[in-house]
Amino acid sequence: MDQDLYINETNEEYDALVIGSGISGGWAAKEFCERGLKTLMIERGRIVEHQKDYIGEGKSVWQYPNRMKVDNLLVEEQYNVQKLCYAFHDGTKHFFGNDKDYPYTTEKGTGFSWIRANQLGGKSLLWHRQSYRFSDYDFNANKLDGHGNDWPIRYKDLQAWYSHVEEHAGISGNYDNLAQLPNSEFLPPFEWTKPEIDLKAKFTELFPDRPMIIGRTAHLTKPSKLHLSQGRVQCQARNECQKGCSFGAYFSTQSSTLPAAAKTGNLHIAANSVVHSLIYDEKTNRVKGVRVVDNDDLSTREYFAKVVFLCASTLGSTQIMLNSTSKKFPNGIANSSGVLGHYLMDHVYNAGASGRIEGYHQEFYSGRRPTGAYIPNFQFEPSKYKKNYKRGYALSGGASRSNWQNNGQLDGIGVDFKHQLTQAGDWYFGLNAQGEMLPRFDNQVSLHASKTDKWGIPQLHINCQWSDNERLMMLDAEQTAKYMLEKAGLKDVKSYTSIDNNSPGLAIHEVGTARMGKDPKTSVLNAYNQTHDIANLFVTDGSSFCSSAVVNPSLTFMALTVRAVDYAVKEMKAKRI
Amino acid sequence: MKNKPAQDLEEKSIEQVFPKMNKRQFLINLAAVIGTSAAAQLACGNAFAVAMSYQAKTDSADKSGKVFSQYQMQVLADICAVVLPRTDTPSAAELDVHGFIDHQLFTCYDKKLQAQTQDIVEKIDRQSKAHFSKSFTTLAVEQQRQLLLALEAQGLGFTKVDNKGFKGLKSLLVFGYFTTEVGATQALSYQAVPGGFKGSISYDSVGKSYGALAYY
Repeated sequence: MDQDLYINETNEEYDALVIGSGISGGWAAKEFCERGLKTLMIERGRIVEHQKDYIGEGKSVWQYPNRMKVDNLLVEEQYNVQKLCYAFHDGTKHFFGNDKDYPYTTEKGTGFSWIRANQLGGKSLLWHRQSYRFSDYDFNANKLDGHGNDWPIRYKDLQAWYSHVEEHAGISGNYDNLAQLPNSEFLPPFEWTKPEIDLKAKFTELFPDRPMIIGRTAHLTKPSKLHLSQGRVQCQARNECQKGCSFGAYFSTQSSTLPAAAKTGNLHIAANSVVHSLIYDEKTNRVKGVRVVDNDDLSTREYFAKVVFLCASTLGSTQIMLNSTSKKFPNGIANSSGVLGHYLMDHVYNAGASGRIEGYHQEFYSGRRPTGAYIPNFQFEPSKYKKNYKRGYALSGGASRSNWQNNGQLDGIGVDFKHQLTQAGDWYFGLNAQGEMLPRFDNQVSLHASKTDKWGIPQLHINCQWSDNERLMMLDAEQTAKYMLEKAGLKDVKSYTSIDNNSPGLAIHEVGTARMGKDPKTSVLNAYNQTHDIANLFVTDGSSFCSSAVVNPSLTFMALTVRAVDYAVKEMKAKRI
Repeated sequence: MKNKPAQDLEEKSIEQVFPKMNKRQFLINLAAVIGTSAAAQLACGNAFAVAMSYQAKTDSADKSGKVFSQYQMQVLADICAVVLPRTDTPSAAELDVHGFIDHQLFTCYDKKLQAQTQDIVEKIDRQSKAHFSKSFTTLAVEQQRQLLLALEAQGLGFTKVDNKGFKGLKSLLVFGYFTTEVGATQALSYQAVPGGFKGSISYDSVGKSYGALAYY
């Protein structure tokens, strides 16, 4: 990467500041740069360069000191929260935040697992890459059942922008033509295994309202010319994505949006720049720039621009806004509504079932598929809701053969046991629930009254809990998944709910806290992710969500961001910003 | 560049800088010398981990380990040899899985599991003496196997708790074996870079379970 890309001190007034370099920040920077605007991307963490800095990639398990497990003292001292993430291991731990450096507090009797990825690329390096469009059922849900405020946009507002990001990012999937889950612009889908094909047919027959589709994922199954020109090649099916992928086969800032932005010559990056607060000019009612504390030496500096995009992650952006106070905005910038920090949501991933499939012992697969089976939400409108709770959930999973890792505890000593472990075992199929969490005013983040982090920024205080709605949903999802597997003929079906063992946060789909809305009295952002209060301030990450919906949110972060940039640039040209 | 001190340390080898100390003391001392932030960086990279890492040895059973005494290491080595014996691939003992178990318990698991595993190793030897009047390491291989089979069947004085302890040990043993290079690539089929995903192939064309996994 061009060394001129990185800057530290500067007096330049940029056209646009983009705070954050993850999925949203990467897109914002690319779109601004390609429209000819001088753009500064501000990242609080260190620089991570594509390929060169994927230090966990390409090593075999025996080449890791503890065979991919993480030293227990290191975990205890630095990763007590991060260790809860499924993707946290010795090959990825350097992409997770050090909990010691990023303290936060939670309200007594509550918990929240805040997974951090504070480096260039953010969580775009670590994400699970599942990519789904929202449908109008999602945008209508709040309005129809009265939970949360009405989204100020509908599917038609985002449709073309979804296509725009999908063509560049590369989304594999099948044209399933489902009302509740609109098609994307697809690269070819990943293949099914034989037992999955037969189960899919069985489900269609038994549960016609619950089609099972192949998971849609941001992987290049067949790269287009555009993808090849980005220096990206076909997915090799290693499924070790979170270590970083030098093939550029999955979408990340590094593989996709950053090179496009850099190519324009309009991009600068200020890394190791922890945004303390926004600089607000009361006379003009504009944000002039940002105050930054150096990540390493704690020195301070400022950056200036005509327009500011907050893309610092849901809780990151909200923390910055809460910490940006002035006479006009004593409770956080652009917070005249008072809802900033409220309506925090995550997804609830706390139920499921799995069982054994008989037969298919001559069937096998080759490679490690980085996606699975997906049964989209089938309770997507009020008439389909269950009686005792609102909204719905999707089920995701897949089939595979058991192996030595699953079977190490079986009975057996000696030659036969060893032989058994070297062979693929029976087929198993599982389904896990991914449920919607209702927007609730009480689920809130605020700044701690006295505690600060090492950069002198007040710590975030999180007060977030599941409600009975999520609890009842998971109980139902457990029973439903179990019933479906048993009906389909699986054996030894086991099911679980774990909602009382897990605090919110672990789906890593935290959204809300600076929600959009038509009414400035009850929302922070308008239909273009622009703050109601300040024309040149936009927030385009997950904090802008009015509801969590059921699907994974990242594709919608992308679409909202590019649409907001398009709007902002037009407004700048029209001299309204 | 904030990586610089870390690199200098690497050149010197961490063991030279901080000889013989426990891990907690090591981290504290490291932070004192190069600063907390750089120490975290270093610990996140590989230098710290490699310095503390397990390298297969040929003489693990001849000395005491980090968790097990020398005597326990000998018993453990024999357990490894009996649970996963030599076939067309080496036995677990030949791949020093007993040495790995000692390392891994010390590095990645808590004291409770360390104690539980020591207990079951001790118990196996005790029951060997009780029923065969010989220590486990002096039993014939078939007698060793019979004793461990009895353990899993909760016979010969072994309890449910013993069996649970043994299952824990066995998981670690199996993990240790199939994550060695030989275990992963010879006993199993190893696809480092599969080149794509095929959903349906004949099992016989592979004939083995896979050694490379997405998650360990």
